[in-house]
Amino acid sequence: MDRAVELQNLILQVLERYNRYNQPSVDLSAGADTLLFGSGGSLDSMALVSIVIEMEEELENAYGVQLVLADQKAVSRSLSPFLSVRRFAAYIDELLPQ
Amino acid sequence: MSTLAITGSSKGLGKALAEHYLNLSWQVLGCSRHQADWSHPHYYHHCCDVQSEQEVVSWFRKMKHDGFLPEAVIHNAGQASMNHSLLTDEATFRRLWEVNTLSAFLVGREASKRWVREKVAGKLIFISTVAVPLALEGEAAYVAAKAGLEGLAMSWANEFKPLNISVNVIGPGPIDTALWRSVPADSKEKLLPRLKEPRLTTKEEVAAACDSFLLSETWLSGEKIYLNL
Repeated sequence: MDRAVELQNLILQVLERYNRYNQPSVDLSAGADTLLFGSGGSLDSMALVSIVIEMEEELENAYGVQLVLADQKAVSRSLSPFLSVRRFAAYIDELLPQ
Repeated sequence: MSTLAITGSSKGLGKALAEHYLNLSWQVLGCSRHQADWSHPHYYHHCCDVQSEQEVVSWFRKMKHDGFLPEAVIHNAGQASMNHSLLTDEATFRRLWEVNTLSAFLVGREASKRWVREKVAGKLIFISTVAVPLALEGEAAYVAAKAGLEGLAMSWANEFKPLNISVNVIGPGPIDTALWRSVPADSKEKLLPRLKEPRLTTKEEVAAACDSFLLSETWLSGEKIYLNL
């Protein structure tokens, strides 16, 4: 499987787990096109922090790397790498060693 | 058993604070650039350069893998430099900022991520210095870096309040460490009269100030305690 798709699935799993414990939950019916943060996204900055922290942990388990998912544009409404599941996955794919 | 993580614990004040909490039956996770030349059954040392993001991340991930969850972190690692500003080079200024301020950001961020993930309240204590409120001359790079550390702590106290993470600052007066012993005699004579009592701060006094945050059930955050000022 393409690594970007693998990453999208990983993010969706983290979001499913997040939905079990948090309200309001994130509607995941759009799959990789689910909007996370910014215009149309349902996460506030605190929820985003939780998801990002979970993802760092998942990436270590899945790929054995210790990444820091912090970005200068993290909370930008238009440039954030956390705008959607697809964009978040592409951002992580760039950070992961080839 | 309570667990403390502390930086710069191989010697000096960091070692004294580690021993203080070990004596109170805590387990202590320490780090410094070098191996510690002391040991205790409940002391776990890790070699880590706290200016390095990757090394700080690795230290906190190791804690998790080893099954430790510190409830408090004392960021004590730091470095001073006595020099006239006009004779201070860029590299020194940059190094002091990295070792005193950037390191606090990295350690505090990784600790806080862990606390958020585990949904537990955490306590951060940053060790600063009375050199900041005294605006001591002859160590501007150090004063600037520690003032930055204090600014970080005060901003985080607000930002982390919804996360149940407290952030406080302790600024001791000069302590009898290798650093103080390297200060020229005339500088020491000028400094001591500016303190409340013209004497050194003891490590026990710093430990007592830490206790006021770590042993109390009362929520305190965004506080600065200067000792002997």
